[in-house]
Amino acid sequence: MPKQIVIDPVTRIEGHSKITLHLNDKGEVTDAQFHVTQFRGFEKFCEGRPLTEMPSLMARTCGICPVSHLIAASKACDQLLAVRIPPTADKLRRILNLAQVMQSHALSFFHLSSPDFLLGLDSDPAKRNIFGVLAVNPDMARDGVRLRQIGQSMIELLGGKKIHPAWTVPGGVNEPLKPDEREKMLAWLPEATDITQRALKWFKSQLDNFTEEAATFGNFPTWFMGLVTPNGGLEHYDGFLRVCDAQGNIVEDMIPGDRYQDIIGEAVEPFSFMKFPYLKKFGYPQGIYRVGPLARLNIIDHCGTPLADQEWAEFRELHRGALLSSFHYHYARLIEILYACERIGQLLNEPDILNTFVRARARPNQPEGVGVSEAPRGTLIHHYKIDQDGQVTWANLVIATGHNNLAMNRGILQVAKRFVNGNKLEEGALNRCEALIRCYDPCLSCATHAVGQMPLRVQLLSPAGSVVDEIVRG
Amino acid sequence: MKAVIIGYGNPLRGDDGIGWYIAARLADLSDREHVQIIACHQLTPELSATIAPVDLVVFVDADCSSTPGEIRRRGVLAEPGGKIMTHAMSPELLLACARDLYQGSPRAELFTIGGRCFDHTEGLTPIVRRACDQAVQQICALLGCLQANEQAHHA
Repeated sequence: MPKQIVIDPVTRIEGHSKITLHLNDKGEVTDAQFHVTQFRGFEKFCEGRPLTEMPSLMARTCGICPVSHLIAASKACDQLLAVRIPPTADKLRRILNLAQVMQSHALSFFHLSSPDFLLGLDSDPAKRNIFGVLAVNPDMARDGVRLRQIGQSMIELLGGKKIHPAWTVPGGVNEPLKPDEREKMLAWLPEATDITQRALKWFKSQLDNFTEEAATFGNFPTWFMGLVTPNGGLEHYDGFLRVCDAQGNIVEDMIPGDRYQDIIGEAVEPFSFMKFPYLKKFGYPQGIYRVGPLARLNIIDHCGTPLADQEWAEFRELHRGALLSSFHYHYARLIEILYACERIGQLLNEPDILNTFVRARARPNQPEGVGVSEAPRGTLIHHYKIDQDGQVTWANLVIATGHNNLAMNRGILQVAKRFVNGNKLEEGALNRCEALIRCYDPCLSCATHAVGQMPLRVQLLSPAGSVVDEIVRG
Repeated sequence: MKAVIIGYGNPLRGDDGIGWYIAARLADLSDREHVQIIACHQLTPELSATIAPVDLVVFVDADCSSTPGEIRRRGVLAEPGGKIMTHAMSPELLLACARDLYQGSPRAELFTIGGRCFDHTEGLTPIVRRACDQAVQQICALLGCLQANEQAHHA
């Protein structure tokens, strides 16, 4: 009789989820489901709100990446007002977005994932945390704290506070950049660049230790999607949608963000509150695709900054065509931090960066607006409709993590098939399921409040419902 | 003497905004050259770099388990045990980070005030607000006392 292993977190996690592994009579994993059990309701309760509230309202979607929602919401509202924001505002929003990428990727790599790399995926979970990292590599622990601090300080300098800054608004930004603020940010960049290059050098030296993980962590062909510049470069704020296949061939290109529904469909499944986006051209669920750092570095023709381009060229040598293993999200994140450091420097040195004309003002002029940007985790889409008074009547959000939903489900199945023994549960197998999810750095990683130690209870149940085996952590 | 005051909590959850309220009150009263005031949602690892080089750190937070309006004050020691969070650390853990990452060991005190209402709302309940104003006086007295001791020491 078939059996199930249910990985069900305790209630103190922020983003609720669970994993179900289905076993056959031999105890082999045959299927896996990644359930998001939390309902947020943002698409519904914003109906009736004035469009001017949307950036601040939508920023509350997340406490880790509020800037991403601020940016996408503001861009959607720009379209509703039918304004072209001042060039300086465009640059300032880009700096804010890149600072977000820097701090978010730093959190993912140094705090959430480095314990696995430094201590091993089978190490004692009680030590697989920042203190474990500190014990074996204190310099890396300090680097992680400092790099995230720099990114957050930039956000605070620009937006007034680190979490939920209210600085980006429909039409531009609230305040121009001051000269002393610009000088502070420029002064931080060399240190941030050094830290990132150290981390890259170290991580590349460790790749041979993780060949099995690279081979089994979400390593399968999918399409990849993201934004690119008009000439195919790395883009996080604006640009056009591009989709590539597993061989690196472009299958969709230069799609304006407001036509995302031409290529993306959204399905729902009864076992999860998170939607399942898919590529319409290939149907559901065959149209599985990935977004985020790995996808972005797969679809581009170049990064556009010298150090990042150098690292990107080396990164692409790992595999002909697109890199398929989700394990390489970690490597891609570090390259994106490096790009962020360089690009922020370029923007801060633009001659008009201190211009005080930073906001375009207008009344509602269009009934529908779409804002698309690249969050640290992937493409983020905010789509609103308003009435003539500027009140929101409808909203659709395609969250970055959602694009990866199909891939995460398939990835868990792949990892579970390789590492989970259906007859006896082991902590290392649990951690590998977790580690696969961490590759994607989903917003659900908020659920892993405890570093490297997702609060999990795994039960192996007999067909009669009795507990055959159980492992509890957290 | 250098000090850092960290008031933390969620100002959109009623009395959980105690830390923010007290931080704002102290910002009006304190000597900003010697006292840094921080209001934040959670204690994060990055704060360890901020507190490591100072002489005193004062944590201010709401308490959902004590009587509404009850002020509690205790010393805090560095302790690396317990759950290690990426964006919600305890004062003990933060001090341990400051010690182990940056070799800093400031004296630390935690002020908590019992909250009455933690619903989705802004503003403090009256009883809690009155207690916060008392706590502000206590913290100012602590800062003043330490400043006076330092001046006497150098005299």
